[in-house]
Amino acid sequence: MICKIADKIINVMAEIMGLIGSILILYCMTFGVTDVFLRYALNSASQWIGASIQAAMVLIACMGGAYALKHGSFIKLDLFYEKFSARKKAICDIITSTLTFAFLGVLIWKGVDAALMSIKFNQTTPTSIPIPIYPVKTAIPLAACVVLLIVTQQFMRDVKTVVKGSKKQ
Amino acid sequence: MSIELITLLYFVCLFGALFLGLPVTFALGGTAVVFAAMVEPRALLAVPSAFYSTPWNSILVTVPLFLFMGSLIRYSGIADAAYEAVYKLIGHIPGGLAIGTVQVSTIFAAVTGITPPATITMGQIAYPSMMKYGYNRQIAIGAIGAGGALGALIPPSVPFIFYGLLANASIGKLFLAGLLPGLMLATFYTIYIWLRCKYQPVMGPALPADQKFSRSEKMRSLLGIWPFILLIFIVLGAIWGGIATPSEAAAFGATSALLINMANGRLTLKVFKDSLSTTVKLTGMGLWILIGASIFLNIFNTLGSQDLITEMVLAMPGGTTGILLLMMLIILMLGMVMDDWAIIMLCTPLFLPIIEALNVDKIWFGVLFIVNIQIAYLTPPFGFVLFWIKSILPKDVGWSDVYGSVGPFVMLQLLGLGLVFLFPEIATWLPELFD
Amino acid sequence: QAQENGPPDEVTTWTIQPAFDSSDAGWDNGLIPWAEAVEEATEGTIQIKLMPAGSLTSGSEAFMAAAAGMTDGYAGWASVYGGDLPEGMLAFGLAMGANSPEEAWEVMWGDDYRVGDLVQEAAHERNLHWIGWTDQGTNAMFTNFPVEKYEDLAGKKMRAGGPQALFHEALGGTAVSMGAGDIYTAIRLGTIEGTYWDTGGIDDMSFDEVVDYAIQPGWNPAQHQETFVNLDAWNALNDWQREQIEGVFKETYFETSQLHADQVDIALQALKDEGGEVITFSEEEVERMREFSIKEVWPKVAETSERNAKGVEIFKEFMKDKEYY
Ligand code: NA
Ligand code: NA
Repeated sequence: MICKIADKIINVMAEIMGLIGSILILYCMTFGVTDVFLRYALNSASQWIGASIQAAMVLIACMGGAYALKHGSFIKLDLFYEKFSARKKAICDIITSTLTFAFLGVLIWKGVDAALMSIKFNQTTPTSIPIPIYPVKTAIPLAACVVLLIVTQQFMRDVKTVVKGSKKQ
Repeated sequence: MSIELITLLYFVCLFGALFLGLPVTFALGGTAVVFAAMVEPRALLAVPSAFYSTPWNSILVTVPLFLFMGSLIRYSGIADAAYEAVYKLIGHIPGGLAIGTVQVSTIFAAVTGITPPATITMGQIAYPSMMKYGYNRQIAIGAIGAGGALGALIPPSVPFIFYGLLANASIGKLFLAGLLPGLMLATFYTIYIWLRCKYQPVMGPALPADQKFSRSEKMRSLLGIWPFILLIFIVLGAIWGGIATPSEAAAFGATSALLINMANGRLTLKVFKDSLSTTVKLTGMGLWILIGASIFLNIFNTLGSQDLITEMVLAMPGGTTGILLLMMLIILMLGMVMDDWAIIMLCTPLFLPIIEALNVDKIWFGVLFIVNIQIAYLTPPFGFVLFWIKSILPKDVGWSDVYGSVGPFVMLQLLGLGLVFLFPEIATWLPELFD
Repeated sequence: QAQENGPPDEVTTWTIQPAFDSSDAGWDNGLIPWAEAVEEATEGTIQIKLMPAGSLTSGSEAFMAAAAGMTDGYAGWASVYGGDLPEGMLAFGLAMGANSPEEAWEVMWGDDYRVGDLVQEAAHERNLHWIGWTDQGTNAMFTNFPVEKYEDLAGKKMRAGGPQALFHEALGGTAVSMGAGDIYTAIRLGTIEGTYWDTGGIDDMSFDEVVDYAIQPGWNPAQHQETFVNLDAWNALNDWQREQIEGVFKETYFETSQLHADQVDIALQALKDEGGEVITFSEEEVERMREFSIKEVWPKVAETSERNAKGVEIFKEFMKDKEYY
């Protein structure tokens, strides 16, 4: 029951992140065109559009990562893996997930450090109109947490597959 | 532990995880993190740093925008119109439909940055038509696959963007450099199909006599491809005409694709949402691999392994040519088991210090690299384009049909690679002309 | 510590990753001579490992990496790290500020001014210690249109970042930001009409092939690059080592500044060889541009922090004392 609710919450979060990702892509498209228009038609390139699009790209990585993982779009090399039985696949997943947990763990742990530092020093872009960097740096560990939840969800599923499989035998 | 052993274990860990089916980005990032924690823990800060600074790059925004443009085109119906024109114009010559498939894919390649849109669209439109007119399955599948693979070589090209980014080479120049090799391959495919079908008409018979069209019908069908021409004009024209940077041109391209769909009455809410959803997924996946690769490389340098590899490769016998051939071979072999994003991101930073030490032209090397990647798309068992083909062709088409059909086209790609290797001008002439 | 007054027994290795890579003019002309001087002065008790930008972390993150102790040090320009340490703009050099390494040294470290102390305080707050400095010569405009007076830049689309953009926008130009790798093509194609760059670095970037004019002395006759080390790494040294390193600060400053000055001549010659023209502003024009900069551009730097406001005031005093203003 709790598992089901947790599953549902994770799914909804991934979908919301996908939606935010979509909006950010439309932002990049619209403002990319706007920048050229400002430069040629009004002869005054904006000093913030470029940097804001770059910031949007970091956020797209945050949002798109969770969404892509949830939808199984993360590329893997399933040359051998593909031929394994469901149980064998689950065992492989459990073994390799140590690397995933290590990676996401460090991304969250060091990501929090980096975000705190950015807030402390009031880090901005070195552009003539400075844009604060801390919101983007804060989004990184947060997004990593959602990815960690999705990975955990898949991990639990793998554990179930292995346990069920061994009961059958 | 010696640096040699650490470096070896670093790669063993990466490839072990990859072969056990771990997503590429986690294998790259996870390996890096584990080794950093053991050897140089303070380097772990590179992880969030790379996550922030890698996507924070003005050229990378081309990736979602070209992807979005490509997705929209797939739904727009303008590919149907283009194929219709081909069918009416050259359907009556032997192998005409397969040749037309290559031609449309070539045009498609000029408006999309990656291979799936052309492959999927032509698989859906051209394959049933070729089957209907008695074409041999292998020629049909081969034409779709090889044509689709051109998407990476003919600009705009996301693989070139990634390479340029990692190699610190001009994207605009790379785009120019890829054009002639791409057109050359398209020509090879055309000649091959035409000759093969001329002497072996069962492979691709000419259309029956009742399927002949008047000149006006032909002209009218030709007008159907205007949206394609318009998009090529907008995107490449903006870049090469110096009006906009590649990023801005991509924004124009995506906006135009949106407007063209609207004008054609094809922009339903579903098409809009699906296109965005695909774009977010592919961009998310791609950026995470790029980030994972940066982290892998940062830790690789921290361990001191880059110096080791560079020294080893530079000590190889055979001089520059030998080293370049070795690199081509490595990419080809990796291409059998890995996909393009991963190969580019893994190999470019490893090879570049060597390429620079050898004083080899980065633009030329980039073209060799991407022609190689194109071959990787078609070589079994892991061929990106092959997967797409398999996923959209009818269920009665088996893996053996798919694998069996690419052989001659891979040969032609190898011929193309050899020519660009022997005659670098094929790649460098155009960028130098514009200089 | 038994040998507090001499070299310690242990060798300390510093890993320094600047914001630029080894192809940059700042590598051979600035960083390497400084690193060698430090190694020699400390009798080999400090070894410096220089890593090109991107090898450990990206160039834009390198400053914070040194502050956080991921690396031991950093070198770069305020146009890159200005958002992390606004006071870096004082060290980088203000628009039409100091005219020569001698002047820059005087305003930064001369007894009457000591703007350097402000930068050092700010660096310490970020857990860094300012340890090396070099004058890279003029930072200038490279254009495909002639510039006889600074107003000719109004309305022009130029690639400019950080302090350059402040200047270019102030005189009514359009500052375009783009990656360094795309500037060459963008000028060739006419997307932009030129770029701001350090004069000594234009031949590394092959700009001499695409621009027609180099405008000297540019907008900043003495543009600087700074080197910082992590404060903990600094404090971990013994007094003798710190004294030795501080001892080479001044001599490497003037030595590397001369190397950069030579490089500026080489770069301008390369431009002329390609058929380009060097336009050197007259005294009067330089004076007009200086007045404009002090009035219109310096206040923008002063706005960015309290210390910068103070620093700009001291700079103004200095300019008055030198009768520039
Ligand atoms: Na393409
Ligand atoms: Na392959």
